[in-house]
Amino acid sequence: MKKNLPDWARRTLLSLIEVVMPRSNEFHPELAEYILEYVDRYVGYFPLLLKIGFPLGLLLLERGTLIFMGKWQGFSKLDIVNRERCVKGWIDSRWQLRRELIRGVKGIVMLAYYSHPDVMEHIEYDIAGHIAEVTAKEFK
Amino acid sequence: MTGKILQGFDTNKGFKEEADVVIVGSGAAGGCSAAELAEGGLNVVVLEEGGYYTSKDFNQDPATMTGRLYRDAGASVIMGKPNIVFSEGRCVGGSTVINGGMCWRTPEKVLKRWQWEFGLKDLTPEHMEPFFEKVEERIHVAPQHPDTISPGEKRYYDAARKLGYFVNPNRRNQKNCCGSNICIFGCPDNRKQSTLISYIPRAVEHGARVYSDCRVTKILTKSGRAAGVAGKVIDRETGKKSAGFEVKAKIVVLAAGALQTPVLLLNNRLANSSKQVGKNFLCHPNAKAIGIFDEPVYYWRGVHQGHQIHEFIDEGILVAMSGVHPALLAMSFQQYGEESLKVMEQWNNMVCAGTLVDDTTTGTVKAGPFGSALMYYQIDKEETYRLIRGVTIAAEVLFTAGAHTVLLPFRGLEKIHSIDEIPKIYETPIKSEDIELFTVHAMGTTRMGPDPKRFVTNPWGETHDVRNMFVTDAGLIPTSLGVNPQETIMALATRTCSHILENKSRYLDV
Repeated sequence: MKKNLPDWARRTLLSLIEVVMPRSNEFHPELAEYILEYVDRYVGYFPLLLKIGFPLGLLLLERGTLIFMGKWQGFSKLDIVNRERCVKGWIDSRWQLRRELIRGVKGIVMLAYYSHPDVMEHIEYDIAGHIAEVTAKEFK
Repeated sequence: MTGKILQGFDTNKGFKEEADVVIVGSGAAGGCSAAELAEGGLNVVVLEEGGYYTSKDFNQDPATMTGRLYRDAGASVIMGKPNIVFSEGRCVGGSTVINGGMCWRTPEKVLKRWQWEFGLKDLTPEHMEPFFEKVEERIHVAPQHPDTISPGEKRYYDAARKLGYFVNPNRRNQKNCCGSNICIFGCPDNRKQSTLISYIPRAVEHGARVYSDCRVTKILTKSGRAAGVAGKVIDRETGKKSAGFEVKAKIVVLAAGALQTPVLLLNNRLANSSKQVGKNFLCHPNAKAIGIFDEPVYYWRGVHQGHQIHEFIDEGILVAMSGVHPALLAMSFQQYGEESLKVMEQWNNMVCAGTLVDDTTTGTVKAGPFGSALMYYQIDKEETYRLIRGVTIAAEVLFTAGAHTVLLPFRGLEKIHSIDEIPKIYETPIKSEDIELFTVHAMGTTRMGPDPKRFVTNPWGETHDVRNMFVTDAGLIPTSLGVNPQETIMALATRTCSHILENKSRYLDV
């Protein structure tokens, strides 16, 4: 399948997904990969400016650890605790740009996570069952 | 002439057409204009940038459906503090395919304001009546069957009534809607009467040719008159432009929406002697509040939106419940990680309410690179106040309905736990940029009026500068409506088309 994001951006994204997605469920490693592919596919629908801007935002997240956390390691090389601290820093940042960037990526990760059939089942959202039930009724 | 719908893969070698009228866009304005003009005997071509999808192609996967049916997969951004997420349709049928189907006539006080402030003297309720009636008949505007209201919405409705608020049952364009509540990814069994189901088939039946996957980039003119349009066929898979097309026509109708129409005009340097193209951008900002209950209320098991609270309309505040996919709700939450799952595990105990506020300021739409639209809108103090007040009303109704917690769209105040905590919202210093906003209603960027120095089009939608070039989309709307704009757009388009047909000889004998 054609990839929309370069490998380095996918690495950063996967590291971010591990922070943003809920991790208590047993199926999370596969789910992280699923989310990665989902987000990559979603990026394919973006307009050109966002297609360029999205990996640039990930680059800023990856390399911004030096400026914002004083760490030489890139975001994807940090342990999970430091990645969580880094993401929190972006969310609470005084810079609107940082806040909006993380909000956008976080939003797409959540979109992917809660679109997964297992997660929908977990939260008891059975839209197919609902549609089948109501379309069988007559509302005239 | 035989009507048909042609898709990009049918026309990827390019094409040339001649018609009386070429219409750019196929949504509320374009679909309606196509049917009215084709039924009036004109030879019509419709050009739609998005793809042609029918209910066979619709499913419940958010990424697939937003990718297919929405511009920018629903992730367009209006820049400002805060940025506002904006979604609109980009497919045959436009936003009518993915909207909630709410139909309200333009409020009389709004029409009066247009008469006084904008010189739109003809736009009286009596004058508009036949156009509203015609639209309502065409798209089957009807009240929702009570059995399709979800248990969660029933609670919300009862609570609003208990508080003494005026609650209006929604009028929607639907036939026997069963409340499957997947409107925003396309109605799975064609009960919502989008233009894809209503106007477009009528247009085709009367000979219109509808081309999907065709992006118009150039407006052709000759001696100060519109003469047609040209552009490129888009490959739906890659998004790349392939062959060119050209449609020569005596009348050009721009119905690409309040964001794309001004960009097309700006890029072609047309109809802008007033310098008003792209100005006066209105976006009817929305914010939401989520109530969490002790027991399941299944607010998603019913129609997308069955009622609206109209008690505060005079304050510029509309409050309503709205059913969305959990993934779309979760993506707008401030919570993430475990906290997000903890919240979303209560999905069946949630009710999502929202507030929409009248614009008290305006933004701008500019032409960006590669034909994109760059939108700027900075909510002002009045709107900030209204949004906060709208959210407090939604929270009050949710608590009255029995919610134990209400999640708020404010950075710095994420939730409150009882009606007594509502004052906290006012005690917290909430700035405009702290509010999470989104919108689906763009209007006002090519507004109409008699004065060529103040308005882009005349009161019939014809541009002041270029004869035979009309705008019929939401760009015409000069002020916020206070209600959903779909029916207003269709009624104004119907009115413009009736004007064209009544003056056929003037416009066609070129």
